[in-house]
Amino acid sequence: MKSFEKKQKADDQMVKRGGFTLVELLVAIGLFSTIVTIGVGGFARALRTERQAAALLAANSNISLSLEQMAREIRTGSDFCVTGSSTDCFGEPGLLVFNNANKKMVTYCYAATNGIGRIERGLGNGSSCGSSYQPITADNVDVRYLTFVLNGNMPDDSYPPRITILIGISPRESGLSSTTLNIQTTVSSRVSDS
Amino acid sequence: MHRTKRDGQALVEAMIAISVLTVGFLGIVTLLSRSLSLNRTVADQYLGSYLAAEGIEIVRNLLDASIIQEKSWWKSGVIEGKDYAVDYTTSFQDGGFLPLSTGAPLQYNAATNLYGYDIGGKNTIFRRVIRVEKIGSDEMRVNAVVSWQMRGGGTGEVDVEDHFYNWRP
Repeated sequence: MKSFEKKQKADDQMVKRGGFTLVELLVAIGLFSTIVTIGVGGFARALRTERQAAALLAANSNISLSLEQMAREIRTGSDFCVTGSSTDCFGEPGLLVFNNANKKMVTYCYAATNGIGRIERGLGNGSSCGSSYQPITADNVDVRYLTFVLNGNMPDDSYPPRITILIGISPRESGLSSTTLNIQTTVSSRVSDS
Repeated sequence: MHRTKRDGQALVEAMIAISVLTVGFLGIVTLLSRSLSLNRTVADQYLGSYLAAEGIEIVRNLLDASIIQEKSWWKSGVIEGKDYAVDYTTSFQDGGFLPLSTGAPLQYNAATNLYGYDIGGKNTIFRRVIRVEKIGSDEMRVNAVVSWQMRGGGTGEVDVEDHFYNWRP
């Protein structure tokens, strides 16, 4: 009798010390790994998103500065491509030649070097575009196109010169290089030509 | 009997704990994926502000043109309180009127990269109206309002206001 009680006690102890069954272990590991996968994937995506957002912001501020510089000089400028056609200066797309407030001939133009498109500025009629002109956009933004559309730039059309600037930009960041932001704004010259 | 009860409790506890964790993680992941669409929102706002600035510049151009054409600082054909639609080519119509807004969105032509009206492009999400109001004998208030439907609901709006005076150098 006594030995039977002892055996019962030992059985109880064994039950208390018993570990997980195989199924329990598999379920626990499965759930755990699923959650960790979701979590790690989410954080990896968060890091990528943060990098893309920063690149987009940098590209935007960059182009903002370039646009502001162009708009300022155009507002006080005169003689916009009067010798050329109504849309392009000297038959070249992506080129704007005019006289600035200091009566100097200035050119803004588009040039692509090493696969990165840039906006360049220089004195003269644009013949040195892509060689000795200074880029006014940084390397972290790829300018896809730069187009100027002119309205009212002829001296006898009874409208002040109206210059529409079209810029397409892509941030130079993996995953964002295929997205192009198409910007358009118009500047009216304060110097009346009529 | 005792054995069965203890084991079951452990499994249910574990599953509850894991599901609570899952709900928490899902919340974080949703938040992160929303920040991805925020990129798009930033780009839309950026473009919208440039389109609004364009509206003001075109009105400025038309004001200067009316001085050249009529020696008056504003065409008599423009009625205040109405919504006008101007784009980069807009000039005064017969009688000195401006085209009224029809509520149509701006179009984008992928071949020329231009935003405007009747340019043979696709409709964009942006709508732009110009409001003109004379707030004094020599002062005029011009609002260029660009509004658009944001992705994921809500309306974005940029309202640029400028005041023009009957003064020219």
